[in-house]
Amino acid sequence: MNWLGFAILAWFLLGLELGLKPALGLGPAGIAPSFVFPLLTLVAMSAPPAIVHWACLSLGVMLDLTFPIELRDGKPPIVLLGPYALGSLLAGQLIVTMRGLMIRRNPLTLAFLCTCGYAVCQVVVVAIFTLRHATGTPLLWDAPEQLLARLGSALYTGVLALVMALALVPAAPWLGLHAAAPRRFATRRS
Amino acid sequence: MVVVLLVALSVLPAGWLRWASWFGELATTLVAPVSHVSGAVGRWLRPAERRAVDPDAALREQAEHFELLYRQQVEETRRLRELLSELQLQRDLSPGDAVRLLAAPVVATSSDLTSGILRVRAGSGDGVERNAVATVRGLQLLGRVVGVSSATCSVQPIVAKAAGAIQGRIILSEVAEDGSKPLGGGEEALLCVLDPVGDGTLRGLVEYRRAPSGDGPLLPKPGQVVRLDDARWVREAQALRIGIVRSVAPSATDAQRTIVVVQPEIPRLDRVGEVVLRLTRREAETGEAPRR
Repeated sequence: MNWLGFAILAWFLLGLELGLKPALGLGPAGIAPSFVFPLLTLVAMSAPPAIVHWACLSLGVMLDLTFPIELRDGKPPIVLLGPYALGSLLAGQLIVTMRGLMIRRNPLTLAFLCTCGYAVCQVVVVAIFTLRHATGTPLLWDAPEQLLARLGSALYTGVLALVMALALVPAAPWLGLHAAAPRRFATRRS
Repeated sequence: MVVVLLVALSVLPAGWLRWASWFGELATTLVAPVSHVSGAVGRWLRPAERRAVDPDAALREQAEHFELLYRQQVEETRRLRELLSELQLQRDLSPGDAVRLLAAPVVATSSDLTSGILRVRAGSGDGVERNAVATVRGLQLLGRVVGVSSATCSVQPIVAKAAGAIQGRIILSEVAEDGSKPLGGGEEALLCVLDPVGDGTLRGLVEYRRAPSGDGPLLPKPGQVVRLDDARWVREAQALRIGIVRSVAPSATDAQRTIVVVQPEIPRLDRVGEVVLRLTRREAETGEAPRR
């Protein structure tokens, strides 16, 4: 994979994530799409597993770093390294497992895998924050409400991924990603 | 190994993770060129407020500004009188610090919308300190600074759920009928404690007080202005506008009290593109902690 191209694209999409998310938000629950996750899905659909894991970890860490967590009672916000990184890693592994069953050049595939992956990632995030809430971190946290909102965000991200697929799928070769992985016992004839 | 490290970091106590905030600020600063531009595009698509074309709006804003100054001076005079009577020493009086307004753009929000924190491009280098007050156009209270780095600061809006309760004063009559009563003084205002609802409004109980004429209790009405009157906020924030009473309903638990829903003048405080920080000159020049 072309790591420089990946870093530039990740930087750009993370900027969109931090800038455009409030404008695309639906309702007071905070349902909003992720711009970074379609990139993660694209990489997880095409790259070797080891590269997928590192790409997922790096994107997840960036999402964690740019998520200042509000605490109650006017305490300064904290940054928690882990929830999105672990969630992204698990999502990447899920996509790696499922990609063999998919038609990879179809934009609908990207949208579907993105929805599934983001939902899994958010389940991990909710689980970690619920655990922290239960163990005394002064968070304002309602687990069922959060889970519903985040699953809504997963659907919304899938819709956005469908639109972004029009640009991301053609950009895959520029990232050093191939549309199809080599076959196990033979190479594809040209 | 990395996974084990991340799991460990995920469950560490909050106090042990302060160092990660520095990396968070670095990451936000690195993506600021994109997030700032995309944020501007987002605000153009869905602005924080829809301002109607009104030729009198500027005049009304000016009037509001002078009213704010007036109220703050009334409050300051009252405070100084109390201080004088308590201490009886002129040298202990603190002369009212001049307020410095610092306009700064919002460069990023959070990657997760459960956090309502706004990242603003003004930091300790500009004299910003923790607990400084952030406003919109200098009049509408936006929130307070909850974290500062050298180049940026984090502002928590009053409408964010984690911001907690805020005490305000509902101004029942903007101008006294006979002109003898000061604005916002005495029985013309009712205290209320407002909690953020999560949809951009605040909701809370209003104090019960009987009208001086004996005609029953004083009641708030929709359209009345609510101003900050909370000792937990710095003095520069007092009397700033929290919002306008949108609805009034009787309390379900206490028949004698009412519940108000208050909406800030800017319907979506989390989408503002620029904030105005109110800093005291002394605070800005010497870096002394803001006084409460």
